[in-house]
Amino acid sequence: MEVEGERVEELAKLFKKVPKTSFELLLRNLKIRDSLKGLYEKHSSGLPLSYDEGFEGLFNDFLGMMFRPLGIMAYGVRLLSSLLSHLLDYFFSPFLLFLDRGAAEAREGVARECASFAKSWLEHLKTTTDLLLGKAMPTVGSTMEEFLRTYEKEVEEYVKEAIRYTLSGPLLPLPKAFFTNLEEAIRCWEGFAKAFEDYRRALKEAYVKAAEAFIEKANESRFNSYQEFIEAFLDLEAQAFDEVLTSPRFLEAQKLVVEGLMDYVRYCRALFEGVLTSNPANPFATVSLLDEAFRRITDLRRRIRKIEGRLASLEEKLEALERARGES
Amino acid sequence: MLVEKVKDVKPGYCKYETIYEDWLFKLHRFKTDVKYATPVLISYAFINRPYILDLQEKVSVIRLLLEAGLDVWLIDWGYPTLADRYVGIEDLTDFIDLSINLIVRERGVEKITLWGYCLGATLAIVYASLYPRRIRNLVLQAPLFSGETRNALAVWARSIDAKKVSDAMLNVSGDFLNAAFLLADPVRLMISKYQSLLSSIEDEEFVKDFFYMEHWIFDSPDVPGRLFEEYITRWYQRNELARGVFEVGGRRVDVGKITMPVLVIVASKDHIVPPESSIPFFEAVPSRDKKLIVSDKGHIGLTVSRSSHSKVWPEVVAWLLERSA
Repeated sequence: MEVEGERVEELAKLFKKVPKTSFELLLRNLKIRDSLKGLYEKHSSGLPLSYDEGFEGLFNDFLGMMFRPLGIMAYGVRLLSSLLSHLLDYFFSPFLLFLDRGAAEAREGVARECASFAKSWLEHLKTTTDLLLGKAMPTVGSTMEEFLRTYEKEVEEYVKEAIRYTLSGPLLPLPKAFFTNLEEAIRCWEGFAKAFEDYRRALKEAYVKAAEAFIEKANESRFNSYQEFIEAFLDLEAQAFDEVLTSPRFLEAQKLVVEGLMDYVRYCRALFEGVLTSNPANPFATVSLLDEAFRRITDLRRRIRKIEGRLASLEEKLEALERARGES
Repeated sequence: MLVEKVKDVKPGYCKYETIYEDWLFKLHRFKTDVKYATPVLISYAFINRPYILDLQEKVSVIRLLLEAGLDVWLIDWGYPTLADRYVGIEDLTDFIDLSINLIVRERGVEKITLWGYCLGATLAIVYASLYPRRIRNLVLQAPLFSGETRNALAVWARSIDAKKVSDAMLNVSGDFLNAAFLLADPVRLMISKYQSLLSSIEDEEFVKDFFYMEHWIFDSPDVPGRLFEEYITRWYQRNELARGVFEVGGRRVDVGKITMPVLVIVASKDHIVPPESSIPFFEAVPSRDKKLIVSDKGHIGLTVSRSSHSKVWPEVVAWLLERSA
């Protein structure tokens, strides 16, 4: 590939044409090749290789792709939780103030804020309808004004009443399950994070062992070409990974990593869904609701298929009987 | 420039039409002049796309079958969504049955050749055991039969909690499964392979072939959660097929009922479904007319390598033509 600017342009065009993972692996391997070439140049000039000069960086390049799928899943949950936390702030933070015993002033402030929010919303509604209707139909405009004045009064009364009701006792608008699921999600994340360290350590140890074996070989003898050099290195690493990836230690770490992450995702989904479904004004169907609906649909479909099969079989028998009758 | 070499890469060569669609699944029929009475129905693995058998003209197995005059049909298991989360093995075997009903009615025949590849071959074994009278010939490419093999993917499949994965992910994503395939042999599949590409970047044919494969490898559908649970738990962890205790729709799958001609093709360097998984099936079936072909390639090389197309596939086609009149 050519010089930097052309290379970037070519990569951008390539990204549109090849699968995303191919593109990512190609980029990583360009970096790996540069590192390996550097090591080979050192080797071919007669200088001894050592692990600390280049091989540690190679491990991170090698294994970056291995950790990526787990990173994407964990990041996806994080993204959703940060979006939801904004929603939670907006809808619930005024009420969270009620959890603080010394928040009498804050309560009054909240009450004022709620009333002012309702008022400004009504102002907006009024302005919008003025713009839409006022010029074209002045009589309707004045009727609308009258309606809004009456409505504004009623809403104000409603908001005051609602706040009086909530001020009469502590209010926790989130269901109990939210707190349980949050605790479990945190516990699962901690389990996942610890298991991930064990997982990474097992892979690193295998990598280092093979790298050191290669370094010893390279320092004792000479590779005649870059191709021979990298083939020897990659063969040793491949064999080391063949061994570690089915070892009991790795399997245990991998099991805990996968299960920890899956449990974390499940509890996070449950807590997000709990927030939504606890609010009767929520217009969104949750994944769990849809999942149950699809389970019932699939089950019904199977039953219909069986019934259709039996009907077809009965029809065939009937046709055979009628044919036999016709022939006799 | 690399992008110039890959811009026209578009997998799939032979023309077909969609004969039937059933929400998720489709039945395709390839276009050709049919010379043989017995149609071929291909059941590919539900974890990848079936066009690996028709990746590009020079390595298309389907092209060879069509040029020989065979009437080739293929099941497309589709791209599952959340709506398909509860699709299971029974639904897939039911669709094979429905497809065969359509084919025999269309062609005025009583039996077909059922051709399976990888997990699609496992489905073919299940179907042929339950409905042997509908199958004239059974062709199996790298069938998973015994789940107790020592390759990394099988070892991993036996160690995970499949229910936890499907409860969390609902459908197991294609990305997740791709990651598992790559991680089972990370140095060879994520580094050596791409270093070879970089060393051969000026070889246009090499680069094109490389990206034909890349397009297929990373075009993986999601697997319905129930289906994932079933095949991991029952085919790998409990090894129900090889133990003779696998049931579908309340009926026991007994490979002892398979007496029609059987051809099994395995690949000695297959690290996805190694020969040790398939050979127990070959040894167990009572068919008098049975043959085992062993290729020296890997799971996919068996299908798309030039040496397979010069050595293995002509032998397979010849075997099939003798039994398709």
